[in-house]
Amino acid sequence: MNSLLNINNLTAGYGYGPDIVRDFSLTLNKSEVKCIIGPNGAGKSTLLKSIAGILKPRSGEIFFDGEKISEKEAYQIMRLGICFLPQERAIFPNLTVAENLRMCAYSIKDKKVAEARIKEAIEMFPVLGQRLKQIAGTMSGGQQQQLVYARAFTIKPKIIMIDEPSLGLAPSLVEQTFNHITQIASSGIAVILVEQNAIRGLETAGYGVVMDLGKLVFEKPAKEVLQDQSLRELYLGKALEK
Amino acid sequence: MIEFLQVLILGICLGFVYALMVSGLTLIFGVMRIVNLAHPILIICGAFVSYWLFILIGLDPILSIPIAGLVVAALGVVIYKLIFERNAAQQTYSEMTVLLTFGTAMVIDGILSFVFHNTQRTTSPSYATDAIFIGDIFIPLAQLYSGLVSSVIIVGLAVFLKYSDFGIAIRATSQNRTSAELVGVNVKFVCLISFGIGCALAGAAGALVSFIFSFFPSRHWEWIAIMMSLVVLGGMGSLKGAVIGAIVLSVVSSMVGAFISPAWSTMVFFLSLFLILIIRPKGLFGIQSD
Ligand SMILES: Nc1ncnc2c1ncn2[C@@H]1O[C@H](COP(=O)(O)OP(=O)(O)O)[C@@H](O)[C@H]1O
Ligand SMILES: [Mg+2]
Repeated sequence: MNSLLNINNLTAGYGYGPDIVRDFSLTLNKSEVKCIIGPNGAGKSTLLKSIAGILKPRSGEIFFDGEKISEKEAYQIMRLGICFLPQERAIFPNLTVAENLRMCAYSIKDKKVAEARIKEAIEMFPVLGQRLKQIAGTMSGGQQQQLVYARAFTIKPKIIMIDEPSLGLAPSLVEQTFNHITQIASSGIAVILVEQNAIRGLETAGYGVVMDLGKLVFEKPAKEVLQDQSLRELYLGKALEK
Repeated sequence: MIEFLQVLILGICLGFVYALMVSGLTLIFGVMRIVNLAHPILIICGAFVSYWLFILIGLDPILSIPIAGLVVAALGVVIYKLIFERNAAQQTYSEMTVLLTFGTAMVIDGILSFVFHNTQRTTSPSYATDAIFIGDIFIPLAQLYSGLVSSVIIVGLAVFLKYSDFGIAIRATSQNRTSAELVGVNVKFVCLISFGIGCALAGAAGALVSFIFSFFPSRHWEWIAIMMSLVVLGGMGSLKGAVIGAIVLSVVSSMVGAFISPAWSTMVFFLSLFLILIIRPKGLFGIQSD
């Protein structure tokens, strides 16, 4: 119960459909980075959505910093310090870059702090500063990606959950994206990463969590998962072929 | 030439009033995908508030705009709590709102008709029958004032949506609810307030309508179609589109009324609705349906 995040026997699903996440338990400590891998449809995205509060859990409990969050609204969970970057690019394409940054800082009550944080983010991603008036959706993929990660530095959450950050990106952008993630992790923010590029994900993470059919298969230090030959064949096989 | 300018100015004035009438409709659709068929009857509610304030205590309808706005906003919030908030998560929501708001319109129409009967009413402040001449151009004050007041309210709304944090949150919510929730926006609250603002705009429009048109409870049926043609031209959910659509159609219909035949002026709205739906259903600036 002393961890930053405790997920206890979580079960979740959509509408009247079957359980997608089943009896799933996981903990995350401060500054820890865990990478969740598993085949398509294993329920990884569903797990993150239920932690973020977008999807209400069917049963089980989630505690953040000792506080029960599994019945809270998504915006409340976010304000407590859990930032979720979903699979679909999490920006507002029809708003300008400046407006997007203001929305990133929306949850910060103190206006001065909000402005200072936006400034910090712009210093980190100077491209955004040059394009403040541009409609975000008209920027290149790489620039939009920077806007996504600017959020992490604007709100400084305690945990950030990132769903398939490299999906559909050009190789050069994948590199850029993982640099952002490493940067976030080294600033002391705990990270839950879901990544289909399992090797790249595990290299970034401290722990590897394997999920299949909605269940936790096992959790091990990322190095062990990467080195274990049989595990490589079982769970990293597809990634290796690439 | 004089006549042309005169018709043009009147068309623009009336266009701004139309724009105010639909601004709330388009805001509510943008944020919540609710097609609020009860919007016109809410305008009539606002007109009644101003009418009775004028009759009972002699309050000028332009001055009673805030009161009409507040009363209708309160009514709107009650309606929202009763019928929309519960259903907001359902999948068929957008289609269902048409039926729900149609029903709401019938109920309010029924109550108003029962209490006030369907007699024609107009608020008659002193300027309602007055006019000024600019050169040789004759401008009735009622149209001029209502156009000016409408444009001020619309600019105020646009500034609020463009520059305030809450305004940006409203636009963010209308683009993507989940993304808005994930940056810490209380989407339910934003929806409630947006619905309230939309209804307040209907009430404000009602106060102006009370002295430029004659009104009676069942008149809203006629307005629904006209208002739909304005927002469909501009694009559902876009304030800029609604204003442009309203002014363009208002001017064209005034021109047709003046130079061809008054009988054809209303046809402009329906013809435009018909053509836009065939050629560009999304309108000039509309948001994609999702
Ligand atoms: N919005 C949804 N509604 C219903 N079922 C869904 C929805 N999203 C995902 N699913 C189902 O949940 C299962 C797991 O999906 P997901 O969590 O996205 O897996 P992963 O992210 O591990 O690939 C899939 O079978 C998928 O069809
Ligand atoms: Mg997924």
